[in-house]
Amino acid sequence: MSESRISRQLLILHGNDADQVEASCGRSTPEAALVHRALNGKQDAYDDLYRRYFPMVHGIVLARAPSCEADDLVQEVFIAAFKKLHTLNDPDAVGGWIASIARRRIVDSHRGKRKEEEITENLASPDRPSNEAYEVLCAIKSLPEAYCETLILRLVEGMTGPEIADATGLTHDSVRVNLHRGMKMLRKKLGVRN
Amino acid sequence: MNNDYLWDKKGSDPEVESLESLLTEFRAVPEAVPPAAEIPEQKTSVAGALRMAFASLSFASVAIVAAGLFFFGSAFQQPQAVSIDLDGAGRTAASEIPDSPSLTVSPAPPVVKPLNLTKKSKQIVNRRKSPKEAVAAVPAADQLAALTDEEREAYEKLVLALSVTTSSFKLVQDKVDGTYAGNDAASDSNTTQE
Repeated sequence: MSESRISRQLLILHGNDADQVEASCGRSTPEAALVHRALNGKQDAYDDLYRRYFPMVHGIVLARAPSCEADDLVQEVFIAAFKKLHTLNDPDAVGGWIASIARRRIVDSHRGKRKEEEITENLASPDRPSNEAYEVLCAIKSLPEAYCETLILRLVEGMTGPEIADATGLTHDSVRVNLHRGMKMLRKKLGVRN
Repeated sequence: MNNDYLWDKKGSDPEVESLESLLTEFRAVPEAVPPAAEIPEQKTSVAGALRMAFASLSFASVAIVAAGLFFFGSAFQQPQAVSIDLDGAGRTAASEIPDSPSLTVSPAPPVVKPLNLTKKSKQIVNRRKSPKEAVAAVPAADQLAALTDEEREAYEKLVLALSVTTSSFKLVQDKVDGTYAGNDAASDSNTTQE
């Protein structure tokens, strides 16, 4: 029996939570441990998953849907994800898995809706943000999807590049490229407008 | 533009910072966890449904076979009872009756005098065969000929029911094994007919 295995078993024998022990011994990532705990019926694990991935899901939703619908869609995404959590094959990739659910859910919910409706709904919203903020958001939304999503996660949700990469499952290089190219295009769009 | 700030918020970049402060209006705060987290969805699969169908059909076919054996157990006892009856009339070759070709051309058919059964022979008539005995007693041509019209009709219906069940059973088995080619076979037969 290897040394690490013995130490893991000793930790479990001393009353430590098995999932935390697995995570601390480097065999399982914190995300995977969270998923295992949630599947074992721990409600706090669901809370942690929700709070950890809320900004990512909100950013993905905001990049594709009207801001007034974002909150409802985020809830729907998490409901769908939690219901299907047992079907997740790789718990380490839970972030990318939730992101893909969010993208699919938005496509399903907005299938057949026209873009004009989106603009009307946003203007009609009583607590809509300032015109300037809305214009900047529209400029970001007009960028290619990959740049738009990454920029919203960075500028709206306040996530750093490494956090975006870890949450969505993208590589650091991809996120870095998306941020820089997206920012360049955004600057050009805003400069043209001004 | 400070690339470090855009990537991981190190240093400062007034342009990105102003965009961040402007777009903060769209940022959302995590609310309560969706209640669906407490109700994980049950696993359902096509294989599971097929397994259920297979089990149901197996049970149905076993029930039909059991009913058939029960029927034959009582149907094929009547010639046996007749032989005993004939025994009482002076004939001694009870064991010769099944082999006797004159059974069907007998001027006095055995079923004509059921009321003349002795007490002992009634016990034998009432005794039903066990399933093993019934399987061993495969109906020969002369035995089938000895059946009345009503019995023959019942026998034919039972054979038909068994054949239908067997074909359904095989269909399910093929589907479970993945060797089912129902549509292809149907299209082939259509082509052939044309």
